[in-house]
Parts: sequence; C-alpha cells; structure tokens
Amino acid sequence: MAACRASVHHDVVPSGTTDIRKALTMTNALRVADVQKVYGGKRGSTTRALDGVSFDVDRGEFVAIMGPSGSGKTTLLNCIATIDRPTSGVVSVGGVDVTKMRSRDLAKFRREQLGFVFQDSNLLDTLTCRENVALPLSIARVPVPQIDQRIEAMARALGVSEVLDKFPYQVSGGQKQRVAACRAMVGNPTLVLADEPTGALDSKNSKLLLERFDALNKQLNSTIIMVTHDSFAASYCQRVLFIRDGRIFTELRHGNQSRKEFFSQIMGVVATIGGGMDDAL
Amino acid sequence: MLFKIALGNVRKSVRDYAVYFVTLVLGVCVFYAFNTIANQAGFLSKDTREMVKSIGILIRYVTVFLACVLGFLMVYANNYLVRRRKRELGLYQLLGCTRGQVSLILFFETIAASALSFLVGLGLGVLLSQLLVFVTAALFNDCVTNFSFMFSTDAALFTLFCFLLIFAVTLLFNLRALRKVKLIDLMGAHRQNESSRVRSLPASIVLGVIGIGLIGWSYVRLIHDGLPVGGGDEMPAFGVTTLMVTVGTVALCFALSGLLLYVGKAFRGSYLRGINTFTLRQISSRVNTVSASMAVVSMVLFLAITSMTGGLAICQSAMEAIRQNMPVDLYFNVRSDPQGTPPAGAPATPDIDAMLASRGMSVSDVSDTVLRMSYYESLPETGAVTVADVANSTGLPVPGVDYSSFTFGDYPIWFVKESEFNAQRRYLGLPEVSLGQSGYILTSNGSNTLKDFYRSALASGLTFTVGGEVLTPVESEPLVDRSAAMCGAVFNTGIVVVPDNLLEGARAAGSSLSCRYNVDAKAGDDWGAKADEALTDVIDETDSGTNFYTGHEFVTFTGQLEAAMGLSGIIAYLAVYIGFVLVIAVAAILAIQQLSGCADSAQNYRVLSELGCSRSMMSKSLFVQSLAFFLIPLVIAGCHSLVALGQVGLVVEETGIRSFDVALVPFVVALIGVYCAYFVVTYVTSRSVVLSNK
Repeated sequence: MAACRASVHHDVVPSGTTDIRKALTMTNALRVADVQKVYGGKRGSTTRALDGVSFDVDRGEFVAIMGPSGSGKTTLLNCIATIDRPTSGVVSVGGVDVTKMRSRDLAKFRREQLGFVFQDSNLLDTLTCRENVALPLSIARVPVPQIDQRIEAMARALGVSEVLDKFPYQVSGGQKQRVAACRAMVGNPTLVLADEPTGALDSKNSKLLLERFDALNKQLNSTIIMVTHDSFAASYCQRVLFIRDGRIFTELRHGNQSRKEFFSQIMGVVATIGGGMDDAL
Repeated sequence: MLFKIALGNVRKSVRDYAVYFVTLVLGVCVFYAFNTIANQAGFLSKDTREMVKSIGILIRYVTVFLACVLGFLMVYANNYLVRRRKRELGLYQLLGCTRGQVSLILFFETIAASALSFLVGLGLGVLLSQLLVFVTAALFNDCVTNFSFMFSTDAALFTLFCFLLIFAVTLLFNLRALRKVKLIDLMGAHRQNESSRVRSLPASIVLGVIGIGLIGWSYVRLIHDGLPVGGGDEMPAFGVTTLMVTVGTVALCFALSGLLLYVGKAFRGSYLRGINTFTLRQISSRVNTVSASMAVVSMVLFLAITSMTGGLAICQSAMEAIRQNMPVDLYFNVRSDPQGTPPAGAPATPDIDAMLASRGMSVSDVSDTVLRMSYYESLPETGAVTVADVANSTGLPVPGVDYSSFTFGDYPIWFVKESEFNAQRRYLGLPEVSLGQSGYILTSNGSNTLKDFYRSALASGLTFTVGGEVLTPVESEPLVDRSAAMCGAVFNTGIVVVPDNLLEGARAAGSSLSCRYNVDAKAGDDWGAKADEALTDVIDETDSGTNFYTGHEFVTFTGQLEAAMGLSGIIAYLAVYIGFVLVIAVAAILAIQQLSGCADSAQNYRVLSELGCSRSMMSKSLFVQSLAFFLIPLVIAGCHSLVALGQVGLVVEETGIRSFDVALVPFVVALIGVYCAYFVVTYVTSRSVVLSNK
C-alpha cells in the first residue's frame, strides 16, 4: 500500500517549497492534495470515504478516474465539483483553493471554472437544446451575439448542430449527452467534470461521445476529468487513476501505446482491483 | 405500529402537508365563523335579531354546497400529497405491506393532519366570529349591545359534520387512487419527463387573437347592453355574452404559454440574460400544462370578486337609498276623504297634532323641529288626477312594469303648496324653489320607469289647470332629490308643487307630520310606536260610521332600514361568504399546482446550481414563477371584474345613489390578503422544496 502511494506521489512537490508549488499550480488545472472526507458524527461510527488522496491534473489533460463501487470516486468528484467539502486537504482548481471559498462565491466559481456532464444528461426539459447550451453563458451575462456564435461553434464540434432547436425529449440519448457536453464546454471552463457520461449510452453512441471528447481535448486543449467504470471509455484518456477504499491505488498512462494496448492494460488493473487487491499486492 | 409510522410521516413531511393544512384550517375557520351568525343575533338589538337569524339558516344551506367545493379541493390537495410520496408508498409495498396496510397508514396520516387542522381552524374560527359580530353590526347599522366572548356549540358541531363529510370524501378518493396504481409506477414516480409540448406559435397567435377578440367583444356587449335587470328577453343576449367571455378566457389561457414565450423571445437581450430563459420556459410550460384549470381559476376568481364587491355595493347603496327616501327619522300621515263629512268636532283636514294632544302626547317630546304638510289628492275643477290622466293628456303610453300587466295608471298625483314644500326643502338643507305666478314643479322618487315617464311628459309640455290657472313646468326635469320623498308618502309616485294661492279654497286629502329626533333612535321609535297606537285609537273612536278617514301611515327610518336590510343584508352576507370560500378554493388550487410543478422540476434546480447559478438567482426565478402563476388569473379576473362591476355600479346607481364606497375596502383587502397569503406560502414552500434538494 505504501509503495503504491509513493508511486503516485512522484510528481507531487513536497510541502514547504512554496515557490515551486506556486509555479506548478500555474500550469495545473487541478491539484488535489491529501484530501480526506469523513462521514459520520462525533459519536457513533465514522466512514472514511477519502483517505488522503493526492494528484495533479495538467491543463489540457484528459484523465479518467476508475474504481469499484464504494471506492470514493463520486465523493472525490463531488469534492472537486465544490458540491461537497473535504474534511481536510486542499483542492485547487486553476490555482484557487476551493475548499476555503465562501459558499456564495462558489456559484460564481462553478460557472466560470467548471463544466459538468452526467450519466443522465440532466438537460432542462422545458428548454430547447440551444437554450440549454446557452444557459451557462447567459448566467455569466455573456453578450447575446457572442452566445450565438459560441453555441454554433461548440455544437459543430460535438455534431449536434441539427438538433439545437429541438427539445431534449425529441432527441436520442446519445445526442442528449453530446448536447450536455456542449453545455459543459461552451463556457470554456478550466475543468470539465464528467460523471459516467457513457453510463446510459449504447456502444455506438459511447464511442461517438468519447471521440468528440478526445477531439475537443486535442483541439481546444480542454481539461477533462471523467469518472467511469467502463474500461473502454477510460481507454480514450491519456491517464487513468484507479481509486480504491478512498486511496489512489495506482495510475496508468497512455503514452505511445495504441488504444487497444492501453485498454488491455486497464483491464488488467480492473481485474486486479476486482479480484481482491490484498492478494495482488 | 402503522399509526406510529403515520405520525412520523406527518411530522416529517410537514412541508408537503402545508398546503393541505392551510386549506383545511381556512376552510374550517370560515365555516365556523359564518355559521355562528345565527348565534351572533344575541349581541344585536332586538329588531336586527330576527333578521340575522333567518340569514343564519340560509347560510347553512349555502355552506353544504360550499362543503362540496372544499371537499373537491381537499381531494385535489391530497392527490398532490400522494404524488409527492408515491415512491415512499411504493416502498412500503415493496417491503411487504399489504395495500390495506398502506391505506391504513395514509388514513392515519390524514386523520392526524386533519384533526390538527380542524382544531387550529376552529380556534381561528372562534376568533374570527368574535370579529364578525362587529362586522354584522356595522352592516346593519346597529351597535353591539352586550358583547361577551362566545362559543357556539351548534356551529362547531355543524362544522364538524361538514368536515367529516369532506374527510370521508377525501379518504375515499385517496384509497381509490392508491388501489389503482401499479407498484412499478409508484417506484418510478420520481423520474418523470415533461413531454407536453407548448403549442406552436401560429396556433397560439390564432387562439390568442380569438380569445382577446371574444373577451373584448363581450366587454363591448356588456357595456352596451348592461346587465339583464329587466330579465325576460335580455337574458339570452346576456347568456351569449357570458359564453363569449368564458370561451374567450379559455382560448386566451390556452394561447398564453405560446404568447408569453413569443413575447419573451422578442426581447432577445433580456431573454438570454441570467436564467430568464429558464424562468420564462418554466412559466410557459406550467401555464401550458394547466391552461384549462387556469381558465377555470380565472373565471371562479372573477365570480368571487364580483360576488363579493357587487353584493356589498348593492347592500351599501340600498342603505343609502333608504336615507334618500326617508330623510327624516319619523313620519306620520293621516288621509281623509276630501268629499266626505268630517265627524263631529273634527277639522275638515286631519290634524295630527290635535289627535296626539287628545291623548296627552306631543311630538315636541322627541323633536325640536317638526315638519307639517298637507296634500291635495283631487282638485275642485278636475277631480282626482292619476298617472293615467297624465298619460292621456300627453299621448304617452301608461307606464308599467315590463312583462307584467301591472301599470302605474291608477296611482294618484298629489298637489302640495309651494310654501310647505319649500319649508321641507329648507329643513333638508336644500335650496328653495320658485314657481312664480303660474309655474309648477313635478317631483317623484318612484322607479326609473316612472321618472322617465314624467321626463317625457314634461318634454311634451304637460300642463295642469288648478284654480282656473293653466300651469306650465318651471323645470324640464322631474325633481328627484331627497325632498321628493315624504310629501305624501315615502313612495312618491308623482307630486306637483303649485303656488299656494291656487290651493286656498281646496280641501286637503291628508296631512303629514315628520321630524328628526332630538333623543336617541330607540327612545324616538318607542315614542313613535306609542303615538301610532294613540292615532289608531283616536281614528277608530271618532271615525265610527262616517268612513271619513281613509287611512294612516307610520314609518320610521329604523323600520325602513330593517326591512331593506333583510334583503340586502342577506345578499351582502352570502356574497362575502361565497366570495371568501371561492377565493380560498382557487388560491389553494393554484398553490397546489405550483408546488407540484416545482416538486417535479426540483432536479432542474440542481442542474442550474451545477451550472453556477447562485441561490439568490434561483430564489428570484422561483419568485417570478410563483408570482406569474398567481398574477395571471388575478389579472384576467380583475379585467373581467372591472368591466362587470362597472355595470353593476351603473345598475346600483340607477336604483340607488352611489355605487362603491370606502366601506368595501376592508373586504377587498381581506380577499386579496387571503390570496397573497397563499402566494407567500407557495413561494416559501416551493423554495424550500427546490433549494433543499441539494
């Protein structure tokens, strides 16, 4: 276990060297340092959902977080998404420590720095797709001509231009999810957080969505963090973090290998985690 | 065990029960308060008492009808509750509860919530009824004579009876709803997609144009035709107008969601600002789903407003009309046959003062300034003049009441002296009239038909010949102010004021005596009643065999007021009562609809917050949504009411004097207050439903 932690920490600067840390956070899209999340009251049993998680995500990286149910990946995502607060540790997005932020600044922060994509697209059913995509921009009071322009550009990138003026219930699940992605990225956020984005999609639509993510990541240099338990989805990423029992278990990098090779590598780790970690280590 | 679960559930879902609770509490409160009316009689003076009692009985019938309305409402509120908790109810079944047991849980819950609201409602009702004593007193121009705290067992029991009735109905619907649904639906109830589409723009525009057109046209018709006061063949036309405004309202409500969206989108700059898009879409979608019931709500609200303000206005003006026709406190007249022979020792013209004096009474006991008047029924040269004579001499048709054989033809026209008439006008604080050598003035405070008849007669140059002098009118209009009353009788069907000298030789057909009290009304009326007995006594005694006296009248302002208030009081009470219950019903429906809509779209607010929308922005959006939801029907109903009440006002003005009054303000404020209370409860509840779901 300890060895495992060390392997993750190799690129984390030891605390105390503040200058270097500052310099690094400039380039980091996300820094998670020693985050703990403990559920439960003062009395009674407590649950340690996150137990000292640390990792960095560079700008323009496409990272997957994988782990079995109950491993803490959703808690981690919620902490990053500022929906939940960690018990201790630092989460900084774009160099700003979000754990210290006052709750009324969080709304502003979310709308400027974060984009969300969920398993069930979570599009507002009373609004057309175009209006759904426009929402983050209009909340941020972006001028109207710019809104139109940005929606068109993003919709083209995600291949949903033709459904923009339909209502969510009129389009397919795959299109819905891509519209949701469109909405998450249109504000050009520092960080796009995707929680099981392919969870409700068939393989064809999953592939389509992941290819678009990949393309956007490369073209627009978007930083994407995707929580998934689908190895196929994870194989599109540049790096996969495995989390188990509230700790980083290991990480894999895509490197120069083909997607297929990366996929089998991921499958190997998944089998290890699923087959009982203690034996493997 | 089941009871324990039920109690826990009520405590847990206080928020969901809020609307249910408020509706029941208000219902019970109003029920009880208005049903105590018969019991309130004890606090009022004796004369008002009987009348108030009869209103009480009437209110009871209306109450049963309104109980049904409230019952329907509770079913509606209950549906909302069950819908909110479908999943939970499904879970009980999943865990092995039988449907019977789940029904029992629901039954206990309803009992617990209802029992509590009944007690609170009754408590508030008791307080409200104490207040109502004073309102009743004010309505009847009476004062509260011996006030003490009151609790009416009768009213409480009756309220309980109606309440149980409502409760039983609610429960039946509840159990039926539960029996009908499948477990899969219960469990899947949390995730439901809004798939109803807003009507297309062209359809909305067409509908909107039709709606507004119909409403506008019906306004024009109503303003042009007026209310069908005459009944008969005006009714079908009025029915068409009513149908038009109803259909128009429905069409408008159906078009509204599309139109709102269209108008909103036209302002693209603000449409795409903040979450205005969301707010407008949400309103439009809500209005779209409930457009039919929104139309119903608008119309019922319209009914409530008109019922209440119209009823009160009629009551108000009836009271003023009484003052107009009875500007003094006490009025006596004694009529005699001018051709007959007076009994021995009696004057040729009845002398009321002398008659009273013979029984040791004097009007100076109750009044400083007494007005005496003689009137002349027939003239030596023409004999008795009637309305039919005037019609003959001017070639006008004899006035009558439409659709009946009744005419005013046989009604007499009396003559009074200019000096006595002017004395009366001075007494009433009115300027004197001047007739010159050969002028006359025609007065009447009869119905509009009669007044119109005299207007035409004067226009066609009606003349009277009195004492050899041909008299021409000095005024082209009949005189209809307060001095028109009490010349000969309270109901003046036509009195001609002529120069004194022309009536010198004639024998008066009767004399009158009227006064204002310098003592309090009760003492004055008591004296009046005694004086009336004395007059009856004297007339019976002296008149035996001669038939010289043809009748006598005794009228008091109090008596007139009570007679009139019997009718208008009932109108006012029922109007207020029905108005209140309808407003409660309508506001509750709106609240429930808005809340269930919010509960369904709670997920949307989570998405908004993830998109970086602040709580204050969402609160603001919810506020606007709730406001729009409550305001739209109010505006529609308000427009209808303004036009309709304008017509009611005209009718009231025709029959009486003024139409609307500051006295109406508290009632309107109370009405709007109840509505606003519901709005606030809705907004606060929906905010907590939506924003706590983080």
